[in-house]
Amino acid sequence: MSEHHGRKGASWLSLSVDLVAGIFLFLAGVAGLIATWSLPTGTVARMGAGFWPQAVSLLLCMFGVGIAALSFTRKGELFELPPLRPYAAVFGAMVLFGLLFERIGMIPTVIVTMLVAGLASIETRWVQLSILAVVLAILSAVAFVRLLGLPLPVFWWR
Amino acid sequence: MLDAFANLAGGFAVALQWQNLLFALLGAMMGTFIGVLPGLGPLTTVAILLPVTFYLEPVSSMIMLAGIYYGAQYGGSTTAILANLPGEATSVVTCIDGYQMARQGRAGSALAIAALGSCFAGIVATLVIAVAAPPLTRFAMLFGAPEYFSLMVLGLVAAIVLAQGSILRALAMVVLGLLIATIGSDPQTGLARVTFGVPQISDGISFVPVAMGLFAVPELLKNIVWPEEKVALDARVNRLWPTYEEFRLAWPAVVRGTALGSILGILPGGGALLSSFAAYAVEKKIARDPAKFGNGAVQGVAAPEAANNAGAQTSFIPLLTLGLPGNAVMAVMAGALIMKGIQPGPNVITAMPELFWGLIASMVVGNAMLLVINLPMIGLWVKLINVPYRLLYPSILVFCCLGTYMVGNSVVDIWMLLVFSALGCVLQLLKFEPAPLALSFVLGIMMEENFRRALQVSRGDFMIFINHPISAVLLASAVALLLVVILPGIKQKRKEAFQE
Repeated sequence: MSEHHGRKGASWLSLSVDLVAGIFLFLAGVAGLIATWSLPTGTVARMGAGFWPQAVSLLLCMFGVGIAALSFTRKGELFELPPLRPYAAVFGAMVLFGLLFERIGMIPTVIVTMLVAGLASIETRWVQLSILAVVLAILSAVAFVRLLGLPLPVFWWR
Repeated sequence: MLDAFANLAGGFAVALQWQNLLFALLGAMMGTFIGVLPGLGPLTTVAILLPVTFYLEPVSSMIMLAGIYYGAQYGGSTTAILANLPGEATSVVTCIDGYQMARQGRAGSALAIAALGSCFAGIVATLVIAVAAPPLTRFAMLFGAPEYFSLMVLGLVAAIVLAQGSILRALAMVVLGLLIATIGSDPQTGLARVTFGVPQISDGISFVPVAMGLFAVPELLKNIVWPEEKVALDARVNRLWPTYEEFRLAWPAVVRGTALGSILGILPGGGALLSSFAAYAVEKKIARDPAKFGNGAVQGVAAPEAANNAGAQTSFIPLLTLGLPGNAVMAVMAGALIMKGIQPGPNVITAMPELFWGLIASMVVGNAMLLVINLPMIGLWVKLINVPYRLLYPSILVFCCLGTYMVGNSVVDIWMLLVFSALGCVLQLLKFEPAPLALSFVLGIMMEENFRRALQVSRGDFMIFINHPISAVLLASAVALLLVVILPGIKQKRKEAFQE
């Protein structure tokens, strides 16, 4: 499957995709119930803010149980964790963007984000990517700040 | 009928204003540009470019988004024909014969037929919208709260049934979308709820990070982790004009594809995808020599391309008349309108005729533009197909972040992007389709509001949904649709139809 990354993603306790999916939905429903627990439910004729979200959460739990239960009746694919590195790199890049943008400005942030994102692929060629990152950073600063006049920080000093 | 033309003329007056022409052109160009890039379908393209339109007037921004949409669709056909890479499911069928034509040295013909067919279909579909939309709007004016609730139930069910994949899982996604939609404020009192103490989301979560997180980021990771085989591309496009023989075979197929696409596009869940598959199947059935299909049959390109464009266009009908987005792209459009403070629905046509008719007229303009800009620029698009993904994906990611930030000028939106990207990736690993979630996320608040209002009117009696005849018919249709797909015999048929 992911020969590209040199190793097969680890099969996770040999659980089927359906079972994990069911558990996920159930937990999402439970989370919804917890988050809306304190809201007034009201009655059917005069619903409070909590009625609909609580009903939807319950329904979600039911779907979760249903999909998990069905997973025992048929043999489905096994759930596989993908290689971690691409996910870590892409999400890391987004986190850095959020942390840095307002602090050090657009040009350095764009460069950092692109380089960190480059860690996701083993095909990345660093010189090429660095040049592209600098060019894109300058181009977006020109387009958004100069031409469109948006009040965005370009560097940390302006 | 005459009314429709008078209205359409008014629409052209809006669409032909120079700035709107410019935005249509810009949208179509940018849509094609991004749509041609490997791994980016129309949906992802529209999601990524959504922030670009954010600072425009509502009319201009819709015109530009529509341009982006059909530009991206056209770009998808180009990659399908030249590189056997369908940008999205809608171009899958075009690959079959289009790529074969390209391999036989007829890439130019295939591209020209796809473009001409799409343009013709686009213009016809626009007329269909002009004629069909006003009566539907008047009908929708009769709707009260129970009717609206039932309509949305039917819309969501139909969108699921007509799309691919497991019904149960899609329904679960609908419910998850409804739950996420409740984040923000209570629609009746306006008080904040489920905001987790974050004041910035008390007006609800902005649609941009949701769309990008659910569609763009998981797609990008999919392409990194499980890259598609890339065909070494050596498509020299020598002659652009089809032969007389190809024309003769293509035009009836274009007409059939247009008719089919216009009808299927109106159905919720229909749109471009279903139209192109159905059109291909029909052509194969009625062809004198079915063996040619799969080996470069002209009709196999002409009909689905016409159908997907017609379907893409008429799928605006339910959105603009009933406020019901029929597919995920329309959900993004609805999201864009809502961000502008416009609730899509029957009121749009009377309250903002210039938006409604201007958008429709701009579709004709945009389709003609696509033809004029794109055929001469085919050489450039071919170069773009060859851009390596290792350079593309960091750029896409940066644009997602920049775009998300600019919509609200706030880092909170970046954290939302992060949350929804994580959700999108989890759903992808668990083999869920995010499209139904996006639909119900857009409809969620309206659905809750109408549900509550209906039951307030009836003092808690659920029979109100059945005692109102229109509502009863809508609900019955939803139930019938569900039964139809759940019953085993038809389930098999549905599978076959999608495999074909």
